[in-house]
Amino acid sequence: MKKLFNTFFLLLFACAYMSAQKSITGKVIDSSGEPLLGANIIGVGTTVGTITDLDGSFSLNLPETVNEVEVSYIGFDTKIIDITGLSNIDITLAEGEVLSEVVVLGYNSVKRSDAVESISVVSADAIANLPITSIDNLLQGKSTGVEVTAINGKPGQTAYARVRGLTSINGNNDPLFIIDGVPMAREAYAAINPNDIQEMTILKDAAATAIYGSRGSAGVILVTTKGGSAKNAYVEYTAQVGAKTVLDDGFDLMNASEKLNYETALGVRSPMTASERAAILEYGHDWEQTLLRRGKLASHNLSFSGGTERATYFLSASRYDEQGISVGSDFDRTSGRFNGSYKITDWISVSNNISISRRNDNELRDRYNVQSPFVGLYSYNPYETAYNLDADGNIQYDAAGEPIYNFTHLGFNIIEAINNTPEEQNWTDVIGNIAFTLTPFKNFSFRTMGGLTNNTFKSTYFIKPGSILDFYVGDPDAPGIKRDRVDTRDRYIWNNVAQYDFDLSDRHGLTLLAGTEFVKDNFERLSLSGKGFPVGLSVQDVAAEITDGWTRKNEFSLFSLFGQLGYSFDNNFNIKGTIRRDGSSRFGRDNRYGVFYGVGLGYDLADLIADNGIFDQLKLRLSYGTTGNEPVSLYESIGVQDFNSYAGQTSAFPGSVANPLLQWETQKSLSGGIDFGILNNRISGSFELYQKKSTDLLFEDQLSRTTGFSNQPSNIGDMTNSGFDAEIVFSPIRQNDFNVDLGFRFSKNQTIMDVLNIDEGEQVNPDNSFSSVLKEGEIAHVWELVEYVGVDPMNGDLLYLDAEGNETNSPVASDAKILSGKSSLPTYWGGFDIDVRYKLLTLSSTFAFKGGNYIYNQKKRDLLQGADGARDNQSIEALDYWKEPGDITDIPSPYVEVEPTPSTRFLEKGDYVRLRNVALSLAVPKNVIDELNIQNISVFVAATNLLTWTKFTGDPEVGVFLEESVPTASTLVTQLPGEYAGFSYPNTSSITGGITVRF
Amino acid sequence: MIMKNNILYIFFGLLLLGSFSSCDKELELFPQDAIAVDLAYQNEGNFTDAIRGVYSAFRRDGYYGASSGAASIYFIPDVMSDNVVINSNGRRSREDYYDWRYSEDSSSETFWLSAYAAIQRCNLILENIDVLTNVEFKNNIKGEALAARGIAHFDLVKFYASSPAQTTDGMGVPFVTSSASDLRPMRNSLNETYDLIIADLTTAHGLINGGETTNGVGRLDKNAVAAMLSRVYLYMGNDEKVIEYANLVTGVGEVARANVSSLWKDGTEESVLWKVRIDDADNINIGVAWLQESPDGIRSEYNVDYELYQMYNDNDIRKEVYFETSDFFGVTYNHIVKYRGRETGDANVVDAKVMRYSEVLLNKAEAYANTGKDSEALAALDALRSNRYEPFTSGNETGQDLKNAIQKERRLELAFEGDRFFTLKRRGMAVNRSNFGDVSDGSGNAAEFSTLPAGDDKFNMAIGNGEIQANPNMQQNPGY
Repeated sequence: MKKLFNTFFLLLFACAYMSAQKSITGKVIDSSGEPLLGANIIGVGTTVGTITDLDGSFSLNLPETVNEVEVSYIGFDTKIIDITGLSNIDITLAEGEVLSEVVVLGYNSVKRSDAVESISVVSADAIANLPITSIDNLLQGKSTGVEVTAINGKPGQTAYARVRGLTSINGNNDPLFIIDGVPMAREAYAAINPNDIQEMTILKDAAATAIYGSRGSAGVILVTTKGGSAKNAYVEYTAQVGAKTVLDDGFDLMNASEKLNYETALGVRSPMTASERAAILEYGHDWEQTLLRRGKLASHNLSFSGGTERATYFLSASRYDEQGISVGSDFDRTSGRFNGSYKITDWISVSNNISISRRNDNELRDRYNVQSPFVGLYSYNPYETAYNLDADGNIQYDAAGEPIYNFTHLGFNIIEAINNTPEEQNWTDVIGNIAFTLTPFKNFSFRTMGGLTNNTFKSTYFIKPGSILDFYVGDPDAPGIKRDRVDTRDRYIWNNVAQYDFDLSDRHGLTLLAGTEFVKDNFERLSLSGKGFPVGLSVQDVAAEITDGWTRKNEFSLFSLFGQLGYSFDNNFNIKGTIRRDGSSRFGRDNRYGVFYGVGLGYDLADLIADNGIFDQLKLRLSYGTTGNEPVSLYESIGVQDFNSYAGQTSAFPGSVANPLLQWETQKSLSGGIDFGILNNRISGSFELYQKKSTDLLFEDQLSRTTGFSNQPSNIGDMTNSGFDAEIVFSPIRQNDFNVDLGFRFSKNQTIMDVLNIDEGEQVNPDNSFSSVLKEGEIAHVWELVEYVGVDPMNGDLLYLDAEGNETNSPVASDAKILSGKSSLPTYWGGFDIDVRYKLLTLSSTFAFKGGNYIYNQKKRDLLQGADGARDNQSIEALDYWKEPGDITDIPSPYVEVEPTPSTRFLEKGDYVRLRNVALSLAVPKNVIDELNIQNISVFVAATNLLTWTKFTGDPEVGVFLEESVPTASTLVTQLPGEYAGFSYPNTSSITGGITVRF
Repeated sequence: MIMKNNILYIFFGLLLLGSFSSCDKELELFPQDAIAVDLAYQNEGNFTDAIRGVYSAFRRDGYYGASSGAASIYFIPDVMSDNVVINSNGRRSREDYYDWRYSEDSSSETFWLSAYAAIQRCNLILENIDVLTNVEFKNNIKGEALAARGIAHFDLVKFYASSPAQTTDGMGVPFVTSSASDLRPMRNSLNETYDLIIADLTTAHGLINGGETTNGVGRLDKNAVAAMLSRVYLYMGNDEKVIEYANLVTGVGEVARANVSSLWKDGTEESVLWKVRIDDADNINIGVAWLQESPDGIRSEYNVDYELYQMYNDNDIRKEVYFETSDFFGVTYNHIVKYRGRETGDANVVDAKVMRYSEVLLNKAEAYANTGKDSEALAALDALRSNRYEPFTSGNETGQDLKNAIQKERRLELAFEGDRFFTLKRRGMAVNRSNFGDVSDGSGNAAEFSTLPAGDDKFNMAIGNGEIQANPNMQQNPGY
C-alpha cells in the first residue's frame, strides 16, 4: 500500500521537480529477467523519483548529495541501492510476500501472515462502481463463507447475509456490521456510500468473533472507510449513469385474446359476439409494460484525500439517484464523510470518522394484493385498460383534468393508488466516532473511542381525499387520511482498549490486549394519524380530526470486558486466546452475564520445508471458541402487563408470558484450515473445514392456546452447521501489460437439527416459515409437504399421495411428509472472478452461484389457479388444462381445487449461477494525462445480474416473500429468506457507464 | 515526563471509574410501555383497567373485532348459513367458511386464541381479586370477570362442540380457571362445560351491580348477564330457565321503529344490553366483513340471499336499514349495510352489539311457545314486531304458526349478527341455501355448495393445528 502511495506521490511531483544535479539511468527486472513496468525509484531522503517504462528502464535526476535510491514494486521486496559513483545500474527485485498486508480484526490490526483467525477481506476494488446501495448486498459472491441474498429488488434495499450457514432459528442470523469500530443498525446499511469503503473484513471463526462475545455468533463484518495519507494527495471524481430492468420472471401471461378464450371456455364469461370481442380486444395491452418502466440511476462521487506527517484527511461527498422499475419507487442518497487523524504530540493522537447521509424513497405497498404493482401486473387482465377510454380510444378526464382510472375487475387501480396514496420515507443517518490513542511508552498503546449513531426515519403515508383507497377505508365526511411516523435510534458506544506488545527474546513475542465496551441503544417511535384534509394540504395541522397518536420507546444495553493474549514464535507459529464477558439488558438478572472465549493457532510450515522452492506460504490454522446470540426481542424474560384503550379509557392486560429461565443462545465453533501460496504466490488460496454448533436455540415454543397465548420464548435445542470454505486465486499470466487473475470461492454447508427439546411431538413449525419444520436429525427448516403425483388423465384431478402412500385427489394437511434433506437453505454457494488486464484495458467479472435449496413457487401457483382464479390473468401454461379423458398434461381440470394443501407440485430447485457483475474499463494513456497534470482517468461500462443460468421458474434469488408481512427491520432479521417465491419487488439487472478522474 | 504521567493517571482513573461504576444498573432495563405483571393487580384502579382489558379481548381478531381476513364469530355463522350468497365481484374472503371447507389449518384458531385470551384475563383478575377490600367494588369486578369468562366459554363451546339441545354426550371445550402458562387441558364433557358456564353466569348475576346501576356502555351489567343466561339456556333447550332469566331483564324496552336505523349507527343505546365498543382509533373496521366502499359503489363480499331478502316486507323498517340495492361494476346487488359505519367517522366502524333486548324477546317467545304458552309468546313477539312494521297488525298466530312466525322473525331480526347458523345447529336442522344468485333480482351466480346436512361434522369447527400440536390432551372433533 505504501508503495502505491509512493507511486502517486512521485507522479505528482516528478514533473514539477526540474533541478538536475546528478543523473542516473538503469533498468529494473525480476528474478527471471523480465523487465518490470512501473517500478518506483526514489532518491533516499528526497521526494524525487520516477517510474520505469515498458522496458523497465528509468532515468532520474537527483541532488548531488543523494547516495542511495529506493527501488520498489508492488509484490516485490523493496531494495535500497548505493549509487555512489554510479550512473547506470541494473536492479533485480525479488518477489515478495504478497500476503503480508495488515488486516483489521476486532479491536486491533495484525499482519495478515500472523493471523490465526479465519477471515476474508473484500477490497474496495472488488466492489467499485457497483450500482448497489446497501453494504451487505455488495458482498454477494465476493467472499467465501458469506452467502448474500437480496431481500428484494427495491432500490436501497438491504440483504440477508449469512456467515457459514444459519446461526439461529428465531434469534439473530445477521452478521454484526461494524463501521470504523461502531456497530451499525440494519436501518443504516444503505446509508453508507460504497465509494468510501476501503475494505470489508469478514470474521468467520470463533477465534476472530469471540472478542465480540454475545453479538458475534452470526459472524462479524468490519467495514473500514478510507483515510488520508501524507504521501498521496488526490482529488477523485467518479460519475456513473445507467439503466435497470426487471429480471425475467419466467412466466408468459395470456394476452387479451387468449384470456377471453380461456374465460369463455371455463364459463367465467358468457360467449360474446364478434363485435363485442373486437371492441374489447382493441385496447388489449401488456400490464407489465404499462406498470413497469426502465429504471435509471446516476451517481456522483467526489473525494479529497491527503495529509501531512501529523495530520491526514479524507473527505467525500456523494449523490446517488435511482428511479425504480415501477412508477412510485424512487431512491436517492446524499452523503458526506470526513475521516481525519491528528498526531497531537509524540504520544497522543486523535482520529475521527463521521458520515452523514440522507436518503429519500417512495415506498410501494409490498403486499399480496393489487395495492402492489408487482401483484397488479399479474392480476389485471390484458383486455382491461388502465384508464377509461372514450369511443375513440382516448383517455377520459374528469372535471379537474385528472384521468379517469379504470377500476378493473379488482375494484382498484394501482396506477391511481401510486399517484394518490403516496408513501414517502426518508432517513437521516449520522455515524461518527472520535478516538484518542496514547502511546506513553514503547510497545504500549491505549485507545479510547466514543461512537454515536443516530438514525432518524420519517415516513408519511397519505391517502389523498377522493382517492380510491379513501373510498374503501376513509370517512366520507372527513376525506383523506394521513399517517406520519418518526423513528429515531440513538446508539452510543464507548470502548477502551489497551495493548502491549513485547518480545521476550528474538524468537518469542507476546501481545496483550484488554478492554471494556459499553453500548446503549434507544429507540423511539412517534406516530400520528389524522383524517379530513383539504385538497392539496397534508400536514396534520389542517386535519379535521387527529384519529390516532402514540409514541413507543425501547432500549437495550450491553456492557463488556474483554482480553486477548497472543504469542508468536519465530514469526511462524502464532497462538492467540480471547475472552469476553458480556452483560445484556435483554436477559433476566439470573442469566444476564455470558462469558465467551476463543483460541486460535497458526503455523506456517513454508520455511520448514527444506529446499522450499514451491511454497511461499503453507500455514495451518486451528481454532475453537464460543460466541453468543442475544434474543431479538428486548424484554422476553419478564412477563408484562400491556395497555391500550377500551371505549376511550385505559385497559390493561397481560402482554407476554415470562420466562425467567431464558438464557443465551451459544455457538461453539471448531474450525481448521490451511492457507497456501505457491510459485511466487501465483497460486494461492485457502481451504477450511468448520463445524458450528448452536446450543440453547431461542425459539417461540408453542403453548396450548387455552393459556391465552400461542407461544413463549424458550431455549429449545441444538443445531450444527458443518461445511467448508475453499478459495483459490490463480494468476496464469503475469506480464507487464497482460495479466490474468482468476479467483474461485466455494462454500459448502449443511445445517442439521441435533437436539429438539420440546415437550410434545417430534417436530415444530417455526413461526417464521410457512411449510417447513424442525425435527431432530433433519436438515433445519426441512420441507413438509404433500407429495404431488400428477394429473389423472381420466378425470383431470390432481393426484397426491396420502399419509399411507396411496393416491388421493383430496389431500389434507396430515398427509404432508418430511422431505428429508430438502429445505430452503442453500447447501453450497460461492463465486468466481475472471479479471483480465491488457495494456490499458481491464475486464473484471464476478459470477455468483448458490444451490441445494428448494423454493415453493407461490407465483407459479397463483398463475395456474384454474376456474377459481380465472378472473385474474393467468400463465399461458394454464391453457393446456385437462379437457377430456385421455389428456396427458400437467395442468388439471380447471374445476379442481389447486393445492388443497401445500404440495411438492410447486416446489422447485433454487440452484443458479449468475453473472453478478462485469465491468470493462479503459485507462487513458499516461502520456496523455501527464500533460493534463492528472493522475489517472478511466472510463468504464459495467453490468450487474446480466445473465442467469437456472432451472427455477423465474428469478431464483428469492429473499422475502412480501416485505409488508415483516413490518420492521428487527423482524426482518428473523425471517427465513427464500422459502416462498412471491410478489415482492423484483430484482433487477443494470447496465451502467462512468468515468473516474483522479487529480 | 511527570506531566505526562499525571495526565495518564487522571485519564485512566476517570476511565476506570466511568466504565465500572454504573454498569449493572445500566443493564437493568424495562419496557416503557408495560409494567411487570406482579405490579398490575394492586388497587381498584388496576382492576378497573384490567376489567376493561377483558372487554378489549372481545374485539380481538376472530372474536367480535376481526375486520377482514380472520373468522369473526360475529359474521362467520352467517357466512356458513343460508342468509348470504357470495358476491362474484367481491374479494371472495372467507370463502372456505362459505363452502364449509374449513379444516384444522384454517384461521378459526384466531378466535380460539382470542377467546382464551379473554378467559386468561378474567382468571388473572379472579386470582388476585382478594387484594380488594371494598366489597361492593370487588363483587362487581368479580361478577364482570365471571360473566365474561362464562360468555367466552359459551362462544367457544357453541362453535367447537355439538349443541346440548341435540345431544347430551360428547365433548365440550376445556373450561379454564387458571392463568398459568403451562396448561394442557383436556376437553370437558359437553354437559360439564355448559354446567360451568351456567355456574359462572349465575354467580356473576348475583354479584354484579345491584341492577339499578349499570357499569356503563360497553361493560356487562345485571341485565346483560340475565339476557346471556336466557341465550345459553335456549341453546341448552331449557325453556323454563330461558323464560326465568329473560324476565329478569328489566327496565329496558325494545328499540322504537324510528330508531332502528340509529341503533345500527350507534346513535342510540335503546335495547342494547351489551356491546363491545369499537372506536375509530382501534382501527378495526368490522363492517369490512360485508362490504367496502369504492368510487364505483359498494363492493360486497356477500349479499343477502334473495329468498331471505324477499321475506322482508316493504313496511319492515329493517329492509331499508339492513340493505341497500345499488350497482357495483355495472351490476345491481342487495348489499348488507348493517355495519357500514356511524353517522360520522370511519367507514365500517361500529360497535359490536352482542346482546340486544330484541333477542331476549325472541328467546322468551320461543321458550313460551315451546311450553304451550302461546299468548305470552305472542306478546313477546309482538313487542318486537310492533317496533318493526308500520302499519303493524299482529298476526295473532298460535301453535305451529306462532312457532314459525317466531323463527321467521328471529331470522329477520338477527340476520348478520352471528345467530342463524347456531339457530339451525341447536334445532338440528340442515343448512339449505336457495338457488338464487348474488344479483339483486336473484339472478347471477348461486352458491356452489348449497346444503350442509343436519348433524354434519362440519357443524362443529376443527380445533386448530397449533392447539393440537402444543397440547397432547386435546381431542379433535370427528371428521377432521
